[in-house]
Amino acid sequence: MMDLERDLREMMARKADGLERTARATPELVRRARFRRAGTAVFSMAAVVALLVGGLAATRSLLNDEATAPAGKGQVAPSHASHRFTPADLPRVVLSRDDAPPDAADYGFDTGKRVFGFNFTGEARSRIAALEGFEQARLQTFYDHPRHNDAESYGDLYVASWAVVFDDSNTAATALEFHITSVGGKHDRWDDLRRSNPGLGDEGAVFEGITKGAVRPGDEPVVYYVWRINNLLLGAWAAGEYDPHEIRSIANLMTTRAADR
Amino acid sequence: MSAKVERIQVEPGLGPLAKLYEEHFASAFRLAYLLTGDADLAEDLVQDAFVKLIGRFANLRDPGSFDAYLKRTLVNLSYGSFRRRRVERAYLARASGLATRATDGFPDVEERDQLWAQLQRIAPRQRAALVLRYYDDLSEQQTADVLGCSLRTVKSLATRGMKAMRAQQRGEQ
Repeated sequence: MMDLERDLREMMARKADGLERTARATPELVRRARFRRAGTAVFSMAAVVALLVGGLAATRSLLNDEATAPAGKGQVAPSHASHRFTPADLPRVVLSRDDAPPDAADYGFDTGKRVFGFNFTGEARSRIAALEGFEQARLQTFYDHPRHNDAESYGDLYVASWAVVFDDSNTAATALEFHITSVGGKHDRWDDLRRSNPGLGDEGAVFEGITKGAVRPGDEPVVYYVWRINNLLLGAWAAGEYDPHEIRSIANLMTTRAADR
Repeated sequence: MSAKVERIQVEPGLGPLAKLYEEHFASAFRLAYLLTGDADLAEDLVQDAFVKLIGRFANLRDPGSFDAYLKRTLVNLSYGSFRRRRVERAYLARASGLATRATDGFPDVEERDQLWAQLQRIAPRQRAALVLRYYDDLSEQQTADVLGCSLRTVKSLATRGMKAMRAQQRGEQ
């Protein structure tokens, strides 16, 4: 352990010390910096205008007693309370192999109730089996290594996209609540994940932290989005070497596809 | 490469950026190089990072924190550049019908000594954790701050990075 650490320190110091390069603060950099400054000023003004417009709109909405969509950063689709999703919607909402991350080397696919609970064990699985209102589910997974189950070469990235149709928004909301409690709780595969509001759909949560063997042996970072749009429950999550922006993009894409019918 | 990194040329007209550039370029360039394994890309990343930060610098409550912001920006930009290169390689491989390893093809690895090559092959966030811990000598908490993650995530990234390095060493023996 110490030898590798020491060797790494020495190698990196040697590489950095031997590096030759002229630091050029060129006219191009000056131009870009000035442009950036100007852009920041314009953006600040635009933000003030947007806040004013948003405030006016919110006031009008409250005065008109209209139902407003939940607030939250990154919200890309409003609630579609009138649209009841069916199992036929699942293929277009859940990512497919055509949407694979560029470094995907292997794939998984599943349907049915176990999609919703594959990463839970024991009591959680039994409770999932007893959930009411389940109609259909679909899961697509991506791995960056073809031998993802080999403990010696299980790769660095796992990405999953799933969705579940329930018979109405109430049963979907109950399932979401159960799911959030399970993911956010302390048990053998998740440990005290940090929760925040993703601002997606009608309600939801995003968790970040460490999984303990949920995908592969050992601890690894995880980000987990789960949210609801009417009677549809959606999930997007990744473990290992994920790019947080990419997983957020996947969640946004699924929300957009759900709205695009 | 024309001169030692300590030689810094600053064009007039940069204003407050000039001083920051003089102070931080060398260390930022070295960090970017260790993160990317590519000197040209490292220089681009450092310039991008300065340009990104100059717009925000006036709003920083603590100008002394510029170094931490710069490191964080460099790490984030290095992820993006690595990802773009992976995407480019993937599409090139599809177009040519050739299967390539996602970690091959770093063009600017000057001396292909094993440890350096192994460091360039591990996943970007693991590499960032190792570089910040063992080159920059940041504590685990400071590394977590730069990476924008929890302490446990840093420990996990470093452990997995070292494990991946050892796995490569076993494979090359």
